[in-house]
Amino acid sequence: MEEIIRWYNISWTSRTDGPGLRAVLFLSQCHLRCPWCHAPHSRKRDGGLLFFEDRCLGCRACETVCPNGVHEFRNGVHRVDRTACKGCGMCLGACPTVASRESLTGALALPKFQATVPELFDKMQPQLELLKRLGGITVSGGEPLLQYRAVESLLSLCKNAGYHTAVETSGFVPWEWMEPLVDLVDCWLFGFRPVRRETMETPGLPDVPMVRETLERLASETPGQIIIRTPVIPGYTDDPVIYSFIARVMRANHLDEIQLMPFNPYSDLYYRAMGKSFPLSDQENIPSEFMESTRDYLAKQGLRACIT
Amino acid sequence: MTSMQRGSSQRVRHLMELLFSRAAEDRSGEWFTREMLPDIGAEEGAGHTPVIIRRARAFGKMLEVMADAENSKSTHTYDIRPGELIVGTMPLGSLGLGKVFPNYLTEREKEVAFFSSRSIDSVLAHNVPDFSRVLRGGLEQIIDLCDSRLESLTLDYDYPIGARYGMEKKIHFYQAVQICCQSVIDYAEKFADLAQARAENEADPQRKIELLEVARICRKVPREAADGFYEALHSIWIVHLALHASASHLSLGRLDQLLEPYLAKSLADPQEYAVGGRPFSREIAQELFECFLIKSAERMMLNPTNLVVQDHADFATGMGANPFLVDQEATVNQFMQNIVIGGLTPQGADATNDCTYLILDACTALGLPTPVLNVRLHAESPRELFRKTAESAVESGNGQPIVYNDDSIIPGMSRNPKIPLEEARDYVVDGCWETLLNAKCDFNYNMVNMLSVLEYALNGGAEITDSLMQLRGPKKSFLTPPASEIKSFEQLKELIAFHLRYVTNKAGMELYSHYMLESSTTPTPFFSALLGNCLEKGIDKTWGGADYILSGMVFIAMPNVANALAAIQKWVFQGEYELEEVVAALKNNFKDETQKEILAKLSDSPQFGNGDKTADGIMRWLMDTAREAVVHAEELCDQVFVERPETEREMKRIERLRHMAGYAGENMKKRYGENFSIAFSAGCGTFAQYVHFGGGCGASADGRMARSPVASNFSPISGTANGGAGAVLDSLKGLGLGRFGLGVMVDLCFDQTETSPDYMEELLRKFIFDNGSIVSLTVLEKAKIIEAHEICNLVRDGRADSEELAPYNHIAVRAGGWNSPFVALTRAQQEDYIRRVLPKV
Repeated sequence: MEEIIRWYNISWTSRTDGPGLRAVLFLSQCHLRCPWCHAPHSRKRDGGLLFFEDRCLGCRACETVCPNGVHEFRNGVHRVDRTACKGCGMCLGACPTVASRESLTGALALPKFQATVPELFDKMQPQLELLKRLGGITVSGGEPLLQYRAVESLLSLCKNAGYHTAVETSGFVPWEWMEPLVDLVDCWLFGFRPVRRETMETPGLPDVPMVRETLERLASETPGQIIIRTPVIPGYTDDPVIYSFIARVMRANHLDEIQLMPFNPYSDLYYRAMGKSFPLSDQENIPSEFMESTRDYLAKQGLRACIT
Repeated sequence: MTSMQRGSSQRVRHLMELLFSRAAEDRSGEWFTREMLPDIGAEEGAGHTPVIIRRARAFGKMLEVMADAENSKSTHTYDIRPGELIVGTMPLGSLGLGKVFPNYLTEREKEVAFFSSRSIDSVLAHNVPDFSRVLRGGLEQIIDLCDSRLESLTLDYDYPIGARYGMEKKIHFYQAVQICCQSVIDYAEKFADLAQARAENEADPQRKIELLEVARICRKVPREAADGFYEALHSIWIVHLALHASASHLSLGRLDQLLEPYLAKSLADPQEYAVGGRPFSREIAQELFECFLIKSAERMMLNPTNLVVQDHADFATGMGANPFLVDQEATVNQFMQNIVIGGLTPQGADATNDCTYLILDACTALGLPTPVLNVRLHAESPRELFRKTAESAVESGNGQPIVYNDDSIIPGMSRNPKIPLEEARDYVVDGCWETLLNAKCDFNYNMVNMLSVLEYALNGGAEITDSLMQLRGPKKSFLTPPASEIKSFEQLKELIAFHLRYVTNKAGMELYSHYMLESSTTPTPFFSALLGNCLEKGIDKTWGGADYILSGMVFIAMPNVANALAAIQKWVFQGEYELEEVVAALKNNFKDETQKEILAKLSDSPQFGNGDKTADGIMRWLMDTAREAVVHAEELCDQVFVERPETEREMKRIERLRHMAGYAGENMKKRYGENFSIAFSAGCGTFAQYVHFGGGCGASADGRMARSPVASNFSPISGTANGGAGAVLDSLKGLGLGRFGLGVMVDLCFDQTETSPDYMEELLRKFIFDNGSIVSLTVLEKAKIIEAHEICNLVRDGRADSEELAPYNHIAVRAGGWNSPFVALTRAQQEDYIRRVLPKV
């Protein structure tokens, strides 16, 4: 029971990650590299130091305390050498904009947290009590099933306390990881995202036939609800053919609920904070007509479709 | 929803539009000028007229100049706007950016009062008048009572001088009350004349009926008893306005309890109580109430560039024994107007009624920053009241309502044997969130900055400062061992308790000393006539006439101190640093390199508001210690000022003590009557002054830099609560808040996209059932707030036109003690607010 669980953020009230109002636990690490990902800091176990430039006051306290020369001010410009960072957190402590290690509202952040499962459960319980009748807990990521044993322990505690549970997954995991959770999860937010033929070979995308297989297995075995989630990404999933395929798979598995997630070209906050650029920043937004016609098409296929 | 679309009827929407467009204009020309006001203090022989009579005349003169057609060309105070159903206008200078009121002190008096930091603007504050007396009998009844008392009070020069003096004071009091009551009646009459004149020229037959009705009502109330909802509401408005315009701090009180019988009567006979020819209905009642709210908010100002040119604040426009400016920024847009609804009756039954919901609906519909809606809840409150309060928090968009837990406040108040349970159950709210007894108590407060107390404990009785002009820092308390000699956490706690006792005692004695000064410059005859039994006794409230005298003792910066102590415990007593190293770092504001390291370490410590056992345990200890200090201070003050020992020998000892406290006079019971004794009531918070209080403190071990703001009220410091609202409530649960009768205030702020009425309802339930005390709920769009701040800065710097603020004018936020349109906050307040609500992403 004493597994270590690793996360990079917790959202205490979310209306968009499962039924009702939910606390969302974002677990660290993902084995996929989807180009539209807006949480690049979630990919590795340690997402590294985040620096939000526009919140920096230029006081140079970080430069003073850093034992590894990560922070440097040149001509008033704050430069961050992330490769030198050992994650000691001294700069966070010294930074006047950072109120606490877990706060993500300051100029600096080290979104890398870990605890034993019971410790994390204790931490989340007061808020989960508050949400008990309104929603519950959603375990998201990263790919949360990379920590499937810890997730199993956490969700057991949650189920015993009577909380509604949801897991958001890419589905691109061995069935053996999912199986132990089948009776603990009330709602699966299942990422099903077949892409256009021409971008199919993009490295880091999930293997769709394998995901489909997992989905079929899950659909036949889970007593819980499954909601398909598909991000609508220009150049990748903005082809009507994809949605007729999704509808076919869903109907065949008696699944009836799908959420379309609109692309946001401005979701580059964390790329900038990591000193990277968002690969899709030059993409145009998906026209709302496409979103709506896709939703209407899915509805005509007898599916409950919505745009989140 | 913009301001323009708010309101339950077309009429109200028009009035809202007018309100907001005026508020955005430069209103500096609307202030009364000195030339418009008589100088009563400069009149021949003024020094021989009692101050209370002069004050009553000033009160009357103020109302007179407000209802003067010539003045109104600039002040707009004698006007009726299209569609208005409630008339009478507060002047801009009633409270907020300074008060404008006729001077009534002589030059010699002003010279002397300057010594004790007092002026005509210094008001011992926070009361709720007994509106029910006016509603039941009208002001005429009060005048009659004064007449009959004056008849029986003929001065008999055979009386001994002491008795004669007492009788003389009563005569002056009744005369002053009469002057005031008549002035209020005359003021209403002037508006009756105006309404009548407008009616004669009115083309629209419907509006003509309305204006004639306004005229009829203004001639009738508050002179006579009110009949029906409209009259009752109008009567309350005129009395509130008269007090507000005459430099009094007051609240509207439990309007649902006051108005319910009148609402029921009007609803029972819709034809008899028709308004403007329309049969009376709940819709009409709500429309009337919305008109009332708009009237109360008429002074609102939204343009940040216009605030500075309207700074009319005078010397000593404050309250308390050490006057400080509460007025200015604190009340620019709230004017300390509070409405209280719900809660328990004095007998202990649930007090929720139809009028509770009417008021709640009207306040939610308009979402104005003032008056502030305060909802009292308890475990047995109707589900619907929980629900509607939650909905209001999400929909109103003005940082309201503020929610009070009766199950915590009432036991806290009545723990003090001086306060009967029935009175505690009838509590009201004035000022920021101070809880006090309804319509029969005089209230004042004093504040103890816990962060300063921690500084004394760490720095041998001196403040911590990085000023180079000081050796060790300004010595504010007794010399105690320096940091190098503090060897255990327990020893540090003992030192805190030691300094806290002195500081709290001093705050308590200041409350008494302030009370002693009060009657000299600012007697309040009209207010006293409407407060408890002052009128029956013939004693002004400033002379001890009120039935109860309540003083709040408010502890500031508790979350900062709890976090600082948790950090010291971890890094000094269980860690690698010496206490003197840490204190040296605090004194140097963490400037040196090694001190930056200390800062980095200290910041990584348990923090209050996360359900963390260590931090919450330290907070519990702080709360226990603070409460003990208040109980001790009350005992001490009672002994020195109030108790009358049986033996002469003991009496002499007490008199010596009293002399040392700075007062050589007689026992307070002898001076103010047998009932006199100040009941202390403890609370935690900062009101609006969390930026100020931090501004006077050095760096602190919670990682706070010198002069930075402290936590707003009892809320976890911005950015340190990382467990959701649930964890904040969890941290409050074990603190024994039910011992704090004044209230322990927590401000919670939510992004609109992350909340729902259901969530607010659950949160309120948990808050009430887990014995929370007071909570403010602000729901806003974070992104909008950030945009508004950026535009405000441009406007302040003259780089953008103030019209660009229009889309943000309707957003009001809670800032510690008051609600304000966000755009009208000072730059420092805005920045602090932004830190609180930065996007979570």
